Amino acid sequence: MIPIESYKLLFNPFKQIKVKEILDFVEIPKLYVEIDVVGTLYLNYLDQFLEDHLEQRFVIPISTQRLTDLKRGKISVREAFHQPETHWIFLTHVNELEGTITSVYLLPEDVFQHLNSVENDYLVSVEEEEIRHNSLTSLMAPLLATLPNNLPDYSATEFRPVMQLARVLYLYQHADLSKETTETLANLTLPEFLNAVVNQ
Amino acid sequence: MYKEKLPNNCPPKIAMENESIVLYRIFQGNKLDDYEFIPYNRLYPNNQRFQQLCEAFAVSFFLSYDHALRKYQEILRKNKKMGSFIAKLKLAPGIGKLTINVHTGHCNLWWYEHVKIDSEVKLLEITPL
Repeated sequence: MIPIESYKLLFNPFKQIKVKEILDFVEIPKLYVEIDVVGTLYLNYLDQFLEDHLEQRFVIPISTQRLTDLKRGKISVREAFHQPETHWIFLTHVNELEGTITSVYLLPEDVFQHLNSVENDYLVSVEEEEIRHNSLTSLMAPLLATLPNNLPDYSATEFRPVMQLARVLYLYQHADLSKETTETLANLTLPEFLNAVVNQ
Repeated sequence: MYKEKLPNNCPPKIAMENESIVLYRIFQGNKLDDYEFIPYNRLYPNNQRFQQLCEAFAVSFFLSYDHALRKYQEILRKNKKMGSFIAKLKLAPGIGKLTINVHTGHCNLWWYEHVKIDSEVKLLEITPL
């Protein structure tokens, strides 16, 4: 355990900060972007719960360009925190019930890296952004994702044209798949194909 | 129209009205109850940080049992126990707007106002964690 008390700030520099954009919110707010009164952006990651309703979070300033790279998957969240744009990293304690920041620490990068718990392969999902740019795919994606659970066996024939279209769209959207994978997917039966797509 | 008073531009444009669909959700208890479907904004009404953010007004579901289990385990590693069961649920059509992330298997649902859980959500299976 790294002692961090000596890095505790006597004031709260984030008094007027606001959550600007959610990047990962599944049951709990894991990753989001905040903005302060002068427009500086911060990337905020949930490290752990220290006790009931007390979050420990990592916070780094992030440039617009780097944030764009993160959202496009060009860099991982781990990279963003492993090679931050400043050499000081904030660590905050946040009361989940009230949303209030109870403590703020400012850690040198080398100290922070011993605490850095961001998963190695953690990429921000850009799917929603991709979908916004492709309205046709946006109509098909929910259908494609839910068909295996919801398609009665007897309707396979009835839905064949729709599923064929879904298959073509999927392969089109994932044009970066290897030739072998594309061929394998194209040769599967429709139920096998749908299962393979959902499990990818 | 919606059960919650939603922020502007919420749900997002990509959200679609749900068809009849089978989804999974992490439950506290082992039976169907309104309490199991409370979105973050109502779970933490005094937390003002998220009262204008669309995701906090949605209820999380998952496409499969494994997706739900993975998320439960991930949050558990962060020292928070989200629940004690994974419920397999069948949702009636037209009870809200849904987004689906096929990479993570996560779905957000924004309930319509009229929805009654006991008649429009069916508990198919419940598995202890």
